[in-house]
Amino acid sequence: MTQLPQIDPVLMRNLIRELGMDALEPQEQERTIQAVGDILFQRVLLRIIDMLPQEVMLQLSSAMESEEQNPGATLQFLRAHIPNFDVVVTAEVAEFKEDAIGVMDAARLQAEL
Amino acid sequence: MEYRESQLREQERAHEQREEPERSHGGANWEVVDLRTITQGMVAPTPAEASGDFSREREHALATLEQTRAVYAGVAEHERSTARRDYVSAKKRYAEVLVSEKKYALRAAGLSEESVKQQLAAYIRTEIFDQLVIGEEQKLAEQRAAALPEEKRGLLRRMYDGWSQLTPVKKGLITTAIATGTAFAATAMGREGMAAVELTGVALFFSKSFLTGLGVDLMTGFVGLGIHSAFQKKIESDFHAQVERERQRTFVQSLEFTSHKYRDLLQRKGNAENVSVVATALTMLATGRACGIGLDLLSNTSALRAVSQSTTAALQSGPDIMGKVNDVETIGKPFKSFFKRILDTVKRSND
Repeated sequence: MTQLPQIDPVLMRNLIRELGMDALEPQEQERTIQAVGDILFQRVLLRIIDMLPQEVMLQLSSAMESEEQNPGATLQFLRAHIPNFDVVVTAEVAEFKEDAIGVMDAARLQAEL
Repeated sequence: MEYRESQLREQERAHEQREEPERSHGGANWEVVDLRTITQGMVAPTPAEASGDFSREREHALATLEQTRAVYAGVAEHERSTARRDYVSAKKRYAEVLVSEKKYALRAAGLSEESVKQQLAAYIRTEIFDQLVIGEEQKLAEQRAAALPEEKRGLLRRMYDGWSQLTPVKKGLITTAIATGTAFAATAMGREGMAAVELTGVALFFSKSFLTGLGVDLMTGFVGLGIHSAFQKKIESDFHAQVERERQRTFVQSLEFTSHKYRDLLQRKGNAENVSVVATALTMLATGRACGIGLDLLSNTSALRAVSQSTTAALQSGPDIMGKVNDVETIGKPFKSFFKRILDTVKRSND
């Protein structure tokens, strides 16, 4: 029997429901989803830029420039130069989910909801 | 003044004690349960709650929040975990103070308890979310970016441009797949040959591949996850051809799944337990992925030919299937008629 890969259960949590975004008006929900996406990307980006060795930064620029002709070049470069790249990126998403849910839960508890 | 500061310190200690058991044991720690909850049956009001003056408590919580954010933004890797914990704790504390203040104001305005609860829920959903989830993350990102060397900051901007140039629908699809967990569930099942841990990297840094592969496939899984249908329609219209392909695939998969359940039912000569299996299968089919399928697809016999002969034969040999389905009260009328259409079409396509 095939063993399913282990996934952090936090990643499976539904932020749309747990943060109350499902109760927002359609336009507001869309705006909020965009904002969450921007935050996720920023968080991941800041984490990996921080870990990137100074000496390969020029090469990363070249990889980004070649993305049009060589799709996936940036991702390939990041995986090659950042140890455990995929784990780091996924952990960043899991942390965001955990922190956001924690703050909203604390507020709801205080409100006795 | 000193007395008030000592009171605030005491409140913080009490707050930390209330939080700690959740973190360390996932439940009550009877050694640190607030004695007031036992002796009075409820938590006594804090000085701010008693006086209605929250300014000092709010300022203190905000100052702690700003301080912990600054530390977290510039912390070294080995101290990151502690700094994060302190920052999140400060965010929670500030959220609690804001909610307490709002609650006090609503009650002071003479609103009923029901209205107070409704307004607080809306306040948390909008104000607290905007300020302490979205706003705080933005401030943290700005501070972290400001601490980077100029060269890295330039690179950061260029990489961020790549993301911001995606259309809102594409960004929305990627974000929804990650935020709802749908993407991870699908990759865990081994779809598209991608491990769950690789998903986020591909979605964020190789969006073209994600969107032409897994991303649109996942869209049919958004049903019932709290996403407004208007947004789902926008995605559908953007990715029309891909969505149609996925709908057909999902439909056949759902139909095969349900058909197998029926075959088992027929072989074991239906009893109450089997009927509940039918109910489960139908509910999955009707409320889950297949819910997004246009009924016009049911007349598309080319998709239905993919259903195996044996499964179809099993369906045909059970004339009492609809009778059993009709007997299950928990299955609503629309789902019953939906399933009947599937059965009829399968039978027609096999004639």
